[in-house]
Amino acid sequence: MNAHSPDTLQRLGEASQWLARLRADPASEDNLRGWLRWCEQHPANAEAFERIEGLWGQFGQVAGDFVAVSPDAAEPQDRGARDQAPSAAMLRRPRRRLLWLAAASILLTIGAGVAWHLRQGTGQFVATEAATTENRLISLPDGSSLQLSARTQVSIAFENGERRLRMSEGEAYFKVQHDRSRPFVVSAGALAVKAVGTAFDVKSDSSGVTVTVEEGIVAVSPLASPGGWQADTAWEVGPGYQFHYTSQRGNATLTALDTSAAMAWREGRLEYVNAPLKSVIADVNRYSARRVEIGDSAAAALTFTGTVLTSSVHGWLDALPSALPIRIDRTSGDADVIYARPLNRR
Amino acid sequence: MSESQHNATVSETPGEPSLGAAPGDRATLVSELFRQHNRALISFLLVHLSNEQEAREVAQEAYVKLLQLDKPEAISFLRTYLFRTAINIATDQARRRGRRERIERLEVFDEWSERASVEQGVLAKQEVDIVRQAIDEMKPKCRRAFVLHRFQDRSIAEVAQEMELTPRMVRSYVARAVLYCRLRLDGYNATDAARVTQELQG
Repeated sequence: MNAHSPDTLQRLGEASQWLARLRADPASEDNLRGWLRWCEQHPANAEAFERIEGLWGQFGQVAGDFVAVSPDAAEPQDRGARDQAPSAAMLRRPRRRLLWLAAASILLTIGAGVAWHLRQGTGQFVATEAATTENRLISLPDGSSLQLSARTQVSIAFENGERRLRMSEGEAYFKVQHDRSRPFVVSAGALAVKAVGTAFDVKSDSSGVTVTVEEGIVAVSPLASPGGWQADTAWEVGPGYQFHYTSQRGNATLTALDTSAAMAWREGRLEYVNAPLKSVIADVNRYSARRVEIGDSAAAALTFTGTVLTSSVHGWLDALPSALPIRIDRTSGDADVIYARPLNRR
Repeated sequence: MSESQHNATVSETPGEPSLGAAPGDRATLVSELFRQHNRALISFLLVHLSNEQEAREVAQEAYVKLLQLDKPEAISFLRTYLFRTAINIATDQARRRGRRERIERLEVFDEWSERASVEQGVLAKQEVDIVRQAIDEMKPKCRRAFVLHRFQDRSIAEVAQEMELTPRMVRSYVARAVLYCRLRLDGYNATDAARVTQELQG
C-alpha cells in the first residue's frame, strides 16, 4: 500500500469537510468564498477536492444498494425471520446479485429520490417515487431489485405471503430474488405478472402492456376480466419471449425475439425498428422535461427506425427534422409540436 | 412564465451568438474566467449535480448570464458572481431543464468537447465492491447519516432532524464517511483508514 503523505491526508480531510459544508448550505456566500480561497491556497487543495467530489459522484454506482429505514419502525408481521430484519438500520441486498446492477449503472444517472416508509403495523413497504426524467435503481428488502424508467412509479406491498407491486404507465425491469413461498406479483394496466425467481421487463401505456422475459418463466393473467378473457386464464412466458396485450382489442400475442433491444432502455438507449412515431414520442416524453406532441395525423403515421439516447432526447428531437419529413413548432408555451412537412420543400 | 427575462440576450438564432453583440472586453473577461476557473466551477457544481454533462450545461448557462451583465467589474467580483449564478441555476433544476434547448453554444466553450468523457469517472467492479464494503464498515450512526443524505435525498438539515443530531454533527458524519471511503479506495485497510479518519475529523 502506498500511504499518502501527511500533507495529502490533511488536504483530503479538509476537502471532505468542504464538501459537507457545501452540501449543507449550497447558497452560503461565506462557504463559497471560503472554499474558493482554500482551493487557491495550493493547487493540491483543488486536486484533493476533485478526488473527494469525484467519489461523491461515484457513490451513485452503489445508490441502489443501500436503504436506510427508521430503526424504531415496527417489523412487519409476515416477514420470515431469515430475512434481513427491516428494523436494522440498513438493508442490503445480497452482494452476489449486484453484478448486473454494476454493469447497468455505468451509463445511468442514478437518482436517489426513493423514500421508504414502513407503515407501522400493516407490514407494508411503500416506496413513493418522485416522477423524474431519469432511470432509477431500487433494491427491495427481500433482495429483489427493480430498475424504473423515467416517470414510472411503483408502489410495493409485502403482505400475506406475497410480494405485490403495482406500477403506473411506464416501464420497469424486475430482477426477482427466488422465494417459492412468496410469489412476486406485478400488476400493470389490466395484467398481473407473477414470478417466483426471474428477470423480466414490463412496459405499460395507454395502448396495452408488454412483458418481455429475460430469464426464468412468468405467468401472465388478467387482473379482472378485460376484453373477454376468462378470469382463470394464465399465460406462461419463457425466456426470449415477449407477451403483448392490446387493451383496445383485448387480445394478446406471444413473440420470440432478441430481448436485448427491449432491455436497451436500462442502458440509456431506446431502440426502434419501424416503430410508429406516436409510440416513440410517448417513450421520449418520459425522458423529456418539456412535453413533445404530435400535431397532425400525417406525422402520427410516420415510422421511426433508430436509437434515441435517453440522456439527450432534446438533441434527438433537434435532429429529427433531418431524418423525417417533419417540422417542430417550438412557439407553444406548453409543448414542442411535431407537424408533417411536405416532402418537396424543406 | 418569466422566460422572456432570461432569454433577453441569449441568441435564439443559430450561428448568431450574443457574444458578438457584447462589448469585446466583456467577452475577454468571461473567456479569462473560463480558462482560470472552469475546472473549479465544474468541480463545485459536481458537489450538487449527478453528472459532468449536467455540470457543464449549468456552467455554460452561468457564463452566458455573465455575458449579459450590465456592469462587469473586477474579475474577482465576477468570479464569485459566476459561482453563485451557477449554483443558483443548479438548484433551480426545473427552470434549467425547461430552457436548456434555447441556449446556443458559444465559441468560448468549444474546448469542452475535448474534455475527458464522463465514463472515465466510473468505478471498476472491484472498486465498487470496496466502496460497498467501506460503507458497511462505518459506525452505524455515521453510515445512517451518510446513506440518508447521499442515497435517499435528505438534506443535511432533514437528516439532523430525523436522527436528532445537530446539522454540524451530520456534516461531520458525512465528511468522515466520504474521507473513509476515499482512503479505503486508495488502498488503506479498514483499521488504518478508521484511524486516519478519526485523527483528521476528530
